[in-house]
Amino acid sequence: MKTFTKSKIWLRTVLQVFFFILIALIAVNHVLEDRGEAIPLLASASLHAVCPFGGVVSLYQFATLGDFTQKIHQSSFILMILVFILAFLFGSVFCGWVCPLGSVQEWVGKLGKRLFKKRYNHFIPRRIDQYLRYLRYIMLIWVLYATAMTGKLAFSAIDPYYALFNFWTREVAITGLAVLGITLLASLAVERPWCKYVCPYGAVLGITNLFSVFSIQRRESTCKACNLCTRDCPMNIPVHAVNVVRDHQCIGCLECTSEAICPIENTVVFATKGGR
Amino acid sequence: MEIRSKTLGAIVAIVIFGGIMGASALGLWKTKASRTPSRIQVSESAGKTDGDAVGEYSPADIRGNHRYAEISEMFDIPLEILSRAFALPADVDPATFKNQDFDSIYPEFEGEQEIGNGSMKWFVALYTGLPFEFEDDEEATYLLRPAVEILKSHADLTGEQIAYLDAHTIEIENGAGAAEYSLQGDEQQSGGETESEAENAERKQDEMVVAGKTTFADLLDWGVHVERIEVIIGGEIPNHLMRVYDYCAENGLSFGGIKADLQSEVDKLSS
Repeated sequence: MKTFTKSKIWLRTVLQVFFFILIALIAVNHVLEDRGEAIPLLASASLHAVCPFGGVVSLYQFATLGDFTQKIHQSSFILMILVFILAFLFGSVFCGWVCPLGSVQEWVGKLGKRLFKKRYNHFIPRRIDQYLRYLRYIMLIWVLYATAMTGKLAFSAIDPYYALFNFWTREVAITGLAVLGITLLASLAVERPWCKYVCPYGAVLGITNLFSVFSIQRRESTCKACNLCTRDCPMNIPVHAVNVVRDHQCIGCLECTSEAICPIENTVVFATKGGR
Repeated sequence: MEIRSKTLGAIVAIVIFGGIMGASALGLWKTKASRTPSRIQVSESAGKTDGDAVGEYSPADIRGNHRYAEISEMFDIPLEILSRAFALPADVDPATFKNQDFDSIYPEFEGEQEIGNGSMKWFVALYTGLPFEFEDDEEATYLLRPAVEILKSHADLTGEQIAYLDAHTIEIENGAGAAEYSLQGDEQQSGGETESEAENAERKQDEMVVAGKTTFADLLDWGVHVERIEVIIGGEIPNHLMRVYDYCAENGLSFGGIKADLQSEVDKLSS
């Protein structure tokens, strides 16, 4: 019997590495600019200015006062719109292909896979896990409410994304570093713990999975019910049990598709409804 | 319709970077706040008449990250005046100095008697006659003696404003702005600049002045012994590249006192 080998969605890895390096360089250049030593031709914006979630938390202030939350700029709004365009078409692909914090958790998770083997990403019982997945909506509501009430970035003190790229400066709150540390540690046992349970931006984008133009489709006629798609899903979505994945947790990584883990050609695909 | 990973990756990159390039082309991609203060739309009571003030930059919108050169240009106040009013030390370049950095050179002016961004707004408003209303820190906002003297000699102040200024003045002894100052006309103003430049040149020859930006490495370079520094700061130097001011802030020490003791050590070396 021919042994099946998983293929790699290599372009996703390339984009993840690219965006990680790009954001890291921008963060460094921002500090260098303050010292008058900025690297030419490289953006030196603050991290807040290149974070699309900044646009989301500013929506209330923009609608009521016509300006942005403190530290948020027009670029955050532009990015928010661009990511929403992607999300309406493809769901939460920003999480799976671009977000550097998600990428870092994934990379730490590779070490976790070596450590815990099959137990990796299966530590939390499903009956508890399924409810924990909605915690990020509570986080989203709190962030939006607190930001709207104070006009300040209520989230920044605990934001692991900001801490990840600024841990070497004195701008990071100790709580942010602590949350980052816990997130990275948890990534050894659970794939993308921040994305699954806490990320308020993932919560927003996850809603678009329910109606996005493209989604993961499983063709029952050719499916051999091997469950590899479910076993390989970083977000523990039971892909084998549905024909169309409309799960708010899907990050559009395509790791479950016939391009990657599914051994049967054209069986798990990223397509429009009924599309071939 | 089915989409493969390579196509999806390409679309993600094209939408993000294409969108940013498109927004840049349309002038919509702004990663920094405008450094220009808002303009006065509805004139307040004080100072200029409605017609004069409307459309001018609002002192109330001066920000902590504004450089003195920007404030000078926007409000048509000579840089020399700002430098003297806020007693910037000789080793500080007033053109690039920011409001928010004031407490790094004068950390003692924080708290109940504060010299900060509010002081700059207040000074600019009185100097230019533009309308300005305090927000919520009126009682804590002070001006240095040189600023008050400049305002008294230049600005058109009411008796009430003068009385209020006198009650909110901080005397200063050793700052650059402590030199006698009077402004009666452009001629004297330019004369003052020449004198100040000479003073600055003289001071810059001897740059061993302990200030907010001075690091432990600077002190060691100047020849102060590590033991003497550690006695004065009451502990070991954690990092040579650390600013003395930051060390004091982190350890709850008064920067003013430490600065004076260190300056005394530095002065011993040069005498």
